[in-house]
Amino acid sequence: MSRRPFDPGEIDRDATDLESAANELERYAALTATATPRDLDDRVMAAVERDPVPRRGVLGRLGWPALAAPMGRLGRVAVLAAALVLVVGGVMAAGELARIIRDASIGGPSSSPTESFVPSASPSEEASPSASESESPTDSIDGSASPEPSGTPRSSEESGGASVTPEEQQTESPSVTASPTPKASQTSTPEETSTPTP
Amino acid sequence: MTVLQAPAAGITDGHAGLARATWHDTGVDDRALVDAVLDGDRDAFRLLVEREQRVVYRACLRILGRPHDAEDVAQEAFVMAYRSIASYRGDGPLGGWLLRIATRQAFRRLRQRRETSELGSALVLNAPGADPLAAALADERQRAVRLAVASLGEPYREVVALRFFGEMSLDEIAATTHRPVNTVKTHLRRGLERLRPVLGAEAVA
Repeated sequence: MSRRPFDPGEIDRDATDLESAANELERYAALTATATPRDLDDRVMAAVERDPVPRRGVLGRLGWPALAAPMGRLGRVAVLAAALVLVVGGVMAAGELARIIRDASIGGPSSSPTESFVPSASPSEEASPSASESESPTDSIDGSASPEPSGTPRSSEESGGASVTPEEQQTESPSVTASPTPKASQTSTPEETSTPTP
Repeated sequence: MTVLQAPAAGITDGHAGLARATWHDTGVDDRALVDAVLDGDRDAFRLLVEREQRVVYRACLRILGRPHDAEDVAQEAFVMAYRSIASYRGDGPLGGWLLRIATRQAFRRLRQRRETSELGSALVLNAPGADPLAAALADERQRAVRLAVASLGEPYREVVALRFFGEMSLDEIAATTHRPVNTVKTHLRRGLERLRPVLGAEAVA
């Protein structure tokens, strides 16, 4: 019999119907009430001997020693090194991500001058609104001239300046600025656009 | 040797709220024992092993059925307990805490054994020289008991194992598992109800 025989009253309610199952478990437990192996405590102490003293505090409660101890000292160093690599990698990834975001935010305005070149090559549509918005042709000439010089240095600064030399931009910008102005004056005159509106 | 010279029996200095009579009442308070282990006193842990090894080993043997496996799992359980002894909160018997680790580990081992299709019974508990047929029947019956308990779902399995294999009282189980006693009673009752078709009188007959 086991050290603490089952009493049906333990379960409060009438548990006589469960007594047979409990008795079977009791019989089984009685059969297995054998002696402990003689050297079990020595084996346990030998296994624990190499372990560091268990830690108090959060790490101990989280089971850090249980995680790290089976691997030995070298294993713990490896775990710490892996953690360090992870941290450094995380920081580098975060830095890279921040750089990409920053580039993306800076790249928005820098792409606008390049886009401004494209419509300027075919200014048939864009020239007419600029001309229609402007009240006089002299204003449209001033308006087309003023953004482009300010845009070309900005694009040269932000795109690095190495790929596009200022000379190239200067050579491009006169051609660009020159082409709309005569076209604006030729194709869409303020009189043509202004005459339907009033 | 801090603990061996410590004042006895449920009296702790500085841990009055946590003081409890130890499960086996060996004269050393559980909390003081744990504190000594955490202070690096390996003799305190040896005392704990010597105090609890019989119950832990038997519980493992009852779950696994093989002395060699039971010894291995009992050792693993003690080592695990040593490494995570800081997580012992002191609100239940230390022996129960250890038994809980051991029974979980034993059920895990049993599952692994079943997964590797080691289903053959190997219990060496029958007396040598007994009738081979009777021994085989008894062996089969013991195996059925083990498998029936192992196939219970949680928390019934744990409560049944702690009660019958760990020989703990319901109060001790309640303190160890941090559940109300009535809940433990319900779990035990339901566990036995689930075992009845396999282990009941009709099943034996």
